This record gives sequence, structure tokens and C-alpha cells, in this order.
Amino acid sequence: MNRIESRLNTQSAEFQANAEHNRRLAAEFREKQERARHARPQRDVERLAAQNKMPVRERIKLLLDPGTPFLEFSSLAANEAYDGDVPGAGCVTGIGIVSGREVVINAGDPSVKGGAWYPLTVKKTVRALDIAIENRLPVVHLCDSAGGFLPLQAELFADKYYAGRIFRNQCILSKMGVQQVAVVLGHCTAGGAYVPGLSDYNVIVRGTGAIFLAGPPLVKAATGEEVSVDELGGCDMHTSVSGTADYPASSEEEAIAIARDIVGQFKRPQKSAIEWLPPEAPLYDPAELYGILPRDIKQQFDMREVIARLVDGSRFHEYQPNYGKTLICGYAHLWGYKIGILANNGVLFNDSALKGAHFIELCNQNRTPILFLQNITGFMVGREYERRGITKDGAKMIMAVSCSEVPKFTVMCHGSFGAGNYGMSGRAFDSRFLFSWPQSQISVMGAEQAANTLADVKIRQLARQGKQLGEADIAAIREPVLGEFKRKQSAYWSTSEIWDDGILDPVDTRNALGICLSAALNTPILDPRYGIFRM
Amino acid sequence: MFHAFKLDDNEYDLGLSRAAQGYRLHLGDKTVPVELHPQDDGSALLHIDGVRRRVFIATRGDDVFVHLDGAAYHLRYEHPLARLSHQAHGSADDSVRAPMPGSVVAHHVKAGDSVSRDQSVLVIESMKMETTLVAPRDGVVAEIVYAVGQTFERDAVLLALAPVGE
Repeated sequence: MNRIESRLNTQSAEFQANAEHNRRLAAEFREKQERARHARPQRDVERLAAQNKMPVRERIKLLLDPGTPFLEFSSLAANEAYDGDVPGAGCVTGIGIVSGREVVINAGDPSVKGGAWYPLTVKKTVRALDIAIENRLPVVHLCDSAGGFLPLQAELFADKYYAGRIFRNQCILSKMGVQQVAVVLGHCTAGGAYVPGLSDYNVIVRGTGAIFLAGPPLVKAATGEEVSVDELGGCDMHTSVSGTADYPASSEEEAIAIARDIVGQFKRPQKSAIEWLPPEAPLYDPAELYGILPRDIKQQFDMREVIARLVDGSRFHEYQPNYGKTLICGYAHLWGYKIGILANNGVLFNDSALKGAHFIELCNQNRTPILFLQNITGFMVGREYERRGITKDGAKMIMAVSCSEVPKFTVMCHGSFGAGNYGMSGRAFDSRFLFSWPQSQISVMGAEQAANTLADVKIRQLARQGKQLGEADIAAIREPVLGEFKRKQSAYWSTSEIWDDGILDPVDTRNALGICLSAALNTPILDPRYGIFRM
Repeated sequence: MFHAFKLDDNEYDLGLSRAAQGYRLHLGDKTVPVELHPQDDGSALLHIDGVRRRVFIATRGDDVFVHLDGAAYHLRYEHPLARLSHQAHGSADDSVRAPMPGSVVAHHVKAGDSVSRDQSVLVIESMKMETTLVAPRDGVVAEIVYAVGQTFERDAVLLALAPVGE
């Protein structure tokens, strides 16, 4: 494999200006992340201390093997929702190493509204368990939740992907032979009681841990029975009488140590064999990514320069370098693992879409996981392209993406607009993991285009009634649409709604993808099978 | 494996194959047994054709620095693909064509300017996206066909370079 020869001039004013801009965006992202992780009202901090409870991140630190990485998902989930009052959606999820095994961690954060489940808490938890199912990763649940947030119960309780899905996913994991352990560190009430109940193993802390379908106040209201928390669902009752819990623990520290010992008993997975070479750092410094990404979302850049800063030795075997040049396809290694890359270098034309579909088939044929690097304004439009069948060629690419059996990974590097989002394995296309860079944008069309389209429709409507709109009236139609689009196409909105698995500082992308690749190989790669490619 | 190294502007094609002990080096018609044994002090023992020598080797990317018998050598590893493609870089286009229909946003050069390969010459806009186009080779700009703001079709010639030799 040959090295990519960078054409980047790192001394140019353009590079320097981009670097300054993107470093600032990365710093802003880290600041937001820091706040979402650690800034809590004083009274919540004091309440937890009074209850003798550790903050969730200290619990996770005790759980993980020392010195090993933790890939946190969706750290800014719900940050644009609920007036920003539910940082991280009130839970912490991610992949970490416990007793030498890769596991998914699903931890409630009692410092946020007592760990209450908001609709986005449920979405984030379901997503973490979907990740466990898709990648056959054992799960450690650290349970400490006040239960569902009642004022929003209609948005978190009954639908297919609402709270019930958490428990359904737990059952499916167990059926698949993927093991789970729950540590009960607070009250697990009502639905929450099923998290330890459906785990293969569980541990409960004496004094603070409790499991029941209804807490003492609700029991009193329902039947008049007066009963204490401990009697109703405490550690000793459940571990010695009901058998709902397995291991008693006298402190959070002991409970977490027992959980580590339980994970140490789990069988180790047989990973799928794919091509592998000893890892090698990229030849070009990943920090130069900051100077590549343009300040303006409209500006094009060469995605080869990005690939050169992600992959081992900056080596890339480019497939069809002279055909469909707006889509770069080729093979590389990342942290040793062989991958296929599809990266946008412009609008998708007929030839680029065909090349993409063909390359996805090649990757499936030789069992090579695929990385999609998105910077796409869409498929080409216009009479000439429709006559050439741009829609059916795009359909071929979408068919190949949807039916691909090898693990897929997607990074939203810059723009992601229109059907290009689909062809490049957007969220709906089951990439095992999907991350966004801080400046990236996603929407069905550009903000300007949407505002103009809606203004045009209105102008023509009124023209039919013989009315004419003034400049001010047109602005009054355009401005709100523009504002709404801009807010909702930003990476922060996307990540708040959990359309991705988190925002990444571009320089962290290589490491994150390395962890994801390793995790994805726990699942066997099946033979590819496709639907009908419209020829 | 085929390898090519550059040493003092000379290029050497080498082949390397595994032997029972170490490797065999294929240089032209010659075959030479080689072994390299790294030592604890950072040096290495190099056996070439039965002769044993002490060498120091450092690598940075594709550059290899070898210290041998009191002299320092700088080898540059050349990937066969890169080398062969460089040899092929004789003829390039005389013009910049439109990769897609669109309009011109900016000219970075004017007729008569000298440009070098990969220098940005034009910025076009199409499908909400600005794309910078670069010169296909070193040369002199003969003509810029469209003014800023004008639209063009796919494959239209946007900029022509003066033919080589004029």
C-alpha cells in the first residue's frame, strides 16, 4: 500500500486560519462536554454525599481496568432539550474494559434529577443496549434512578422504542448468550426494577440499594400497607428471601469490586478474523486535520488529506482512482485493522454512485469493515442526470449500503445533506457507530435553499390571489425558516437528539474508531445477500 | 517483495525473499544472504554475504538513516507504486474542465500568469458547494473562458494553458 502524498501547505494563511477556527470549535466542544459531565447544582452534590453515594464517573472509574480507555457515547445528549437541565440525558453510556473484557456500561446519573428517566434518557439507554446487541458486548448496568419522569411519561413509556425496549433488549441479549451484570446502587423502582431483574447477575448495596415494583408511598396509597424501604426491597430481603438479587455488598466500592469479579467469569468472545497488520501511526500529524476543514460549510476540500491523517502510515490503496472521482474508495488499515473507506470528494454523480455500490460489494466479498467519511451535498440534480438515471444509480448505492453485512462506521466530517446522507450510511442505515465532528451539519437540504423554496411557494400562492409580497414580507417568511434550519442542522442538535453516538474532536477519531472496530468484531460477519439492484 | 531505494540520487531496485535464516537480497542477477540482529544498545549486527558489521539504523517515515563503518548514509524508501506513477507524469491536460455544471465564483489567476501544478486557479459553485480547481501542470494561462458569475455546463473548458513549447 502506497502512502498518500499530502498536498497540504501547512504554512499557508488558509491553513492557519482554518486551524485556528477548528481548534476553537474543538475547545468549545470540550468545554460543553466538561460542563455536561461535571457541573451540577450544589444541592444535588450535597444530597449524594449525605446519602454516601459516589458520583457516577467515580463509580465508572472504579469499575474500569486502570489505564484503559473509555469510549463515552453521546456525552452531549439532551443538551439542547429540557432547557439544558438534563445534561448527558442523565446517564452515562460507553464501551470500556472491565476485567480484561470489552463491555458496554450503562450508568444512571443520580446527580441529574435523581437519575429520573427523561425521553432522551430512554433513547440513549436503548441505543447503548442496541450497541451491545449488534456487537455482542456484555453489559454492566450501574442502576440509580428515581424512575420515569412523570410529566413526560407519554413520550417515554409505551411506544416501540420507549422504555419497554430497554427490558426487551436485555432479554434479547440474554437469549444471544451475551451476559449482563447489574449493580443496584440506588432505588430501582417500577420498570427500573426489571434492569437488575433481567440481568444474568446482580449485586445490591446494603442501605442505599433497593428493588421494588412500587415504593413505600405508592404501596401505602394502593393497599394501606405500611412498610420500610429495607423490608420492602432492601439488600438483605432480596439476597436471602426473594432471590431477586444475587450478591449483597456493604458499600458501593465492594459492590463494584464484586461486579468486576463477575465480569471476570464471563466467557471471552471469539473475534471475527479480518486482515490485520501491526498498527502504525499516520505519517501525517492528525492535528493537521484542524487546518484541512474549511471555515465555510460550502467550501470543498480533498478528503484524501483527511484519510492521510486517520489511517496507519497514511497508506491508502485507492480503487478506481480515475472513475467517479467525487467518491473516493479504497483500502487502508486503522489501528492494524483492514478497512474499506468511502469518502466524499464532491457531489455524487451516476459514476460515483455505481463505484460506491461496487466497492461496498467488494468489501463484503473480502470481509472488510467499511468506514464512511461524509461531506456530501447530495446526488447531482438536473435533466441530463435524471436522463442518465441518477435516481436508479443512487438506489443501487443505497441498496448496497443497506444490505452490507460487514460492520459499517460513519463519521460526519462536514456537510450531510439530502439523499447523500442515505447513500453514505447515515443514521437510518445501521452503521455500528456514527460520530460527528463539531462543525458538521445535517439536513434534508441547505438552510438557504429551504428558506428560498418556502418563500417561493408563498409568493406564487399569493400571486394567484393577485397579491404581491414586499421585501419585508419575504424576509418575514425566510428568517424564521433560516433560523430554525440553522439550529437543527448543527452537530449539537444532532447529538442532543442522539442521531449520532457523540461528537468527536477530530484528532480523537482514529482512537475512537479503533475501539469501535475491535468491538464490532465480536459479531460474526455473515455472507452478503442483497435485494434487487435497479439496472 | 520488491523495494526501491534512493541513495545519493541513484535509484536501486531490490528484491527481498525469506531464507531459512534471515533474508535473501536480490540485486540485479545477484543473490546475497542478509540477516539483521538488533542489539540491546540500539545498534544492530548486519550479516551480508557472510561478513558481519555493526550498524546504527534510524527511520523517519520513508527516510532511513544508516551509520556504517564511520560513514552516514541517507536512504529514501520509494514505494514501487509511487515511483512508477511519478515516471508516468509526462503529459497532463492543457485545460481545466468543469467537473459539474455551475457558475464561476472567483479567478485566482489571469491570462498570461505563470502557474505551477496544483496551484489553485478558479473557484466554482455548484450544488451549494464551492470547489477550488487547480492547474493540471506547470505552464502559462492562455485564456480564462468564463467571467465571474457566468454559468457553464459539465465538461466545459474553463481555463486553457498555453501549449508546451510555444
